[in-house]
Amino acid sequence: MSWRSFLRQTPFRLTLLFIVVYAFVAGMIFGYFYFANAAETRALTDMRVRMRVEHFRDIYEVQGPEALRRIIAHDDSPDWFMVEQVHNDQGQVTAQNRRATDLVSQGGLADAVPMSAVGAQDSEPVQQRIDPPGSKSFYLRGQVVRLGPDTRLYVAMDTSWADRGWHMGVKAIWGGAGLLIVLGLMAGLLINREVSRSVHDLMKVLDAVKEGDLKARVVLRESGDEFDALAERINDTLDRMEGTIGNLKYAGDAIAHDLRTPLSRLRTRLEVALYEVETDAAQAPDVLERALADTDQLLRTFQTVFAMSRLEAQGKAPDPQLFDAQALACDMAELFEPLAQDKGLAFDTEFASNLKVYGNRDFLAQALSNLLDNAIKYTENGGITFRLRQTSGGDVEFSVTDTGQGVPEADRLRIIGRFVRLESSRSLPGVGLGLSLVEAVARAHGGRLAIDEGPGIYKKGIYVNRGPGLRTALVLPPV
Amino acid sequence: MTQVLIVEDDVDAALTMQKGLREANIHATLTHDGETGLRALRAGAFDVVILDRMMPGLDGIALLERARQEGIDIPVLFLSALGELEDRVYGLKAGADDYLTKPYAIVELVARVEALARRKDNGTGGLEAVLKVGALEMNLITRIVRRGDQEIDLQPREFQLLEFLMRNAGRSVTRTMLLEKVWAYHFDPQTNVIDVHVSRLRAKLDKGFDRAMLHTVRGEGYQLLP
Repeated sequence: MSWRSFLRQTPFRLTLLFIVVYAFVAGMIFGYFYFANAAETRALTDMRVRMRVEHFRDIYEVQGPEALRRIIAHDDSPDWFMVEQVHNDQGQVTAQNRRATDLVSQGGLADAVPMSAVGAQDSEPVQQRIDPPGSKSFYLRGQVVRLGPDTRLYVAMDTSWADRGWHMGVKAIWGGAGLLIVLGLMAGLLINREVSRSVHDLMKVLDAVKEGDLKARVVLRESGDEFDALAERINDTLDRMEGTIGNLKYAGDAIAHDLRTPLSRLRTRLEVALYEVETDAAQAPDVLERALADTDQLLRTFQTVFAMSRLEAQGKAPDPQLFDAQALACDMAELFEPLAQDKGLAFDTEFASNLKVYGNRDFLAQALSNLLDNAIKYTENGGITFRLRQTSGGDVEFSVTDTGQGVPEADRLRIIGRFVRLESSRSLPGVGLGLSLVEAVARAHGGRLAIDEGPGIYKKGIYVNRGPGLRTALVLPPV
Repeated sequence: MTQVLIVEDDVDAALTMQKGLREANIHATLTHDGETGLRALRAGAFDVVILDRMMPGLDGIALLERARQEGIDIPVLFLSALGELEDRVYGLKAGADDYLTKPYAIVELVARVEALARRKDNGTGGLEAVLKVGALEMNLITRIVRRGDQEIDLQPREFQLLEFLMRNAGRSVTRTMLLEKVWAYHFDPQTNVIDVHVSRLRAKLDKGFDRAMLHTVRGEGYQLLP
């Protein structure tokens, strides 16, 4: 990974942003404390200086200038933060405490009152920077006060006591900031590495899929984080895709396989036709017409197989709508009743109302049409009962019961298969796709095709004339 | 003479269509891509457009949508590849008037084109109160059907069936068309279920008359003749 692309990565950018924000906030807090602390230090220093000045003023007034000079000269604590000097009007030092002596001898403190303060009656606090050679500089903050003729008092306090704490604070903050930047960058690098590893894993799998390896899957790390969730989602999607593509491939193979039978049938017919035309040319129109009819049949077969394959591959019905189940049943009954009547069969219906179906109306109609058509085709005596009801499980069930010869139990599953025709029905028209389509339609709607023993004719709640018969039912899930 | 515009990129298929339509005395102009088709449409002078779904460049649906946006309200017969189940819905939503799946029988195509051309002639879509075909008269308001002096008693569906046949009198209508237009279902019934209904109607219509009006056209469908 190049350095530039590394800089462009989200986690790293977030880390940088975090560091900048932290530094800004820390700076604000630092600044606030600085100003608050400095003001406090000044006030405190000024107060202590003033108290000292007042103390010396009392001594001067009660005991006289001599006593003051003596007391100050005797203040010999070297650690004492106070610098005390008495000057004459010419600005010469007439007495000073030990601290002041030390500072003057070190060359840090001028042997005179700060010039700004000369002549002032009661000077404002003055601050001067002291640079003792060989040691740290500091500030003296104090006052110059004229106590009487030829006597000026300079009292100042070394503020380094406050600075010392302050410097420690600054040091801590700088150290902290450095540590934060180093640790932050390290954390950023770590997170970045972790994230880019996860992303890299995902991308590797997607690349593999792009190259055609549909079996590639992301290895889950079981960490339960969002990367795992994403990986799981990707794996799910790939599973789905693999399934769909597998189905399509299967459907393609199935179509090729399924059409072989009718195609070879058509070919045989044409061969025979050619022979017939050769012997008697007058037959040509008839033969061509039969060939045309065969081709039509083949096209219909193709349509049906294609529709089934599409339904199976998609796993759902196209363009689904919510509609009334009874209306559909009535339409189908109305369409098929004449067909049954023409064959001398009874046609009974019993439709429950207020049942809704969600699905493709045309496909469901086609499925019911196939069931009704089969029932009429395979029944010679008796009749058909077409029912619509809600099962105890809440499913919507369209059932067609006939009194035909029925289907042996062993064959009932088989007849759903494509192009399967039982021996007993070979003489009747058809190619053996009717029930396959019903099954495909049912499944595409989340339902099923049920095939049972026919209970005979159903009339007003009871079964009469129990024949072998067949009961086929399109069962759809409730809406 | 009915003028049809065919927009179909498969030249062979288009030529076959043109030939089939010519047999039915319909003149067809061929275009083989969407852009040319749209230009021809804008030029007008057609009664019906046959539009293929899949074409390079501007495809059938895009062409149709654009034409409808431009206010071209010519009847459109939409053609789509086999088994594209959703195409029918897309086509009709985009503004097609009828729909046919490939492969189709030429007679089916001709019948549908004729029906669409007739609709354009009427303009109103047939708001007339009485339909007449020869001696056959259908009053759409009183719902009384007479052939000559004789009143014919029809079931509601038979009435609809006859109405459709009368509106398309003199032209062949296919079984699929009848199921679509009379029953409003789009599927291939695979059996003679429509034939049974037509036979029943024929029995009522032609019974007691010397001359039959409702004819079966071999390999095509039915035709009502005066």
